[in-house]
Amino acid sequence: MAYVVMATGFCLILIGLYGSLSNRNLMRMIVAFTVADTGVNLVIVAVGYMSGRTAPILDAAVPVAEAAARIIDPVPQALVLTAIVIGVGVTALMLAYVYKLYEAKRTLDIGKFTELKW
Amino acid sequence: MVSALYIIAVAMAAAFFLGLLKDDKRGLAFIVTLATLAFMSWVSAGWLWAFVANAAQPVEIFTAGAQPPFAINLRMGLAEAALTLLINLTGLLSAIYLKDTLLRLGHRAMAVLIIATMALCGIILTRDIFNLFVFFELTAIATGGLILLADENDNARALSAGFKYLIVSQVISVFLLLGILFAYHVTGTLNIDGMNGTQWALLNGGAIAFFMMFIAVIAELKPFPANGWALDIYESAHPAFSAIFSAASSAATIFALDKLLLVGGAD
Repeated sequence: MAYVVMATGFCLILIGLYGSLSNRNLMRMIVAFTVADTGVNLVIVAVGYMSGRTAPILDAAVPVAEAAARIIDPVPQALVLTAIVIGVGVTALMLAYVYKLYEAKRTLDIGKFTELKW
Repeated sequence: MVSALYIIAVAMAAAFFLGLLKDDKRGLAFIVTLATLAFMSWVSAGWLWAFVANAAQPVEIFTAGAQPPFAINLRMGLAEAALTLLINLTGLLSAIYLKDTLLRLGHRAMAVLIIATMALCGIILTRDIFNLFVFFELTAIATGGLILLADENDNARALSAGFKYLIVSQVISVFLLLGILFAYHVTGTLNIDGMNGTQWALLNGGAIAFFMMFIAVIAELKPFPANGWALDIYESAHPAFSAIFSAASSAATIFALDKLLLVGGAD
């Protein structure tokens, strides 16, 4: 199961990177990066998954003494939360940029923004 | 000496405080910004003096009451003190040079400047590889904001430069995050010094993880010929921000690269 999730994650990353390279529309580029980000998050969760174990929540069902042997690795799950928050921040900033770029030129085609050399 | 953790804590507190200020109190906001950056520089300068004049030993700063790898740790040594002083002084001098622009744009721009300086210091100080990623992303978001400090005439150019920067930073973050995750998977720790103790050559897939992190940080370092997007920023952003972006940002990234090479082993 973890391998299916990981393969899906890598497929999403590749689709996202391909989409961001092949689209000229600014909004589509942002959507493509969001797809790639989702792929990364899936890979992170898949890396932390251990077959046959339970969620890392310590309660009556999983006493502290048995936790190490019975729960999956919680660190990647903590990391994925941080990664999601950061991803949202960057996406919001990119959307604000697109709004401003659209205001300046009334177009979303990246080929029309030619003021800079590089 | 004041703990180096205050460089990060005071900057965060000041940025939150600036967010709460009313927009008409721009003079007060600017004074708070200068005071914060001056305090951050003073802490770094104190440490640098201790290392140079009093031959102090490097200090590990533990957080959350736990030892690494269970909590993030920071390190303040001679190199860290010198580089954080460079970054904080660049931030302070840029803020003074940016006075008119910051007073025109208000307290939010000042908060972003403080966060950018703090994030660059964080890249220098942290010994945790995921924390390094967080500070890199904070730098990227703050840089995206500060590029827009450009003069009114340059605004359209700065906008496209900033968007290009965000695209590059997204690609960098994908590679860095994957690299960090697989590095964690093969070594079982997020601590840079802990990873250093592991025999990477014997670990399956470890080299690929290291390679992914390495190319991400190299791309962030913007060396020729991978510097096209950075040239746009130098060209269109405010000169004071270009100073931060070229000197402080590169200094922090090259130090991060040096830390990363530690992970690859002593050889």
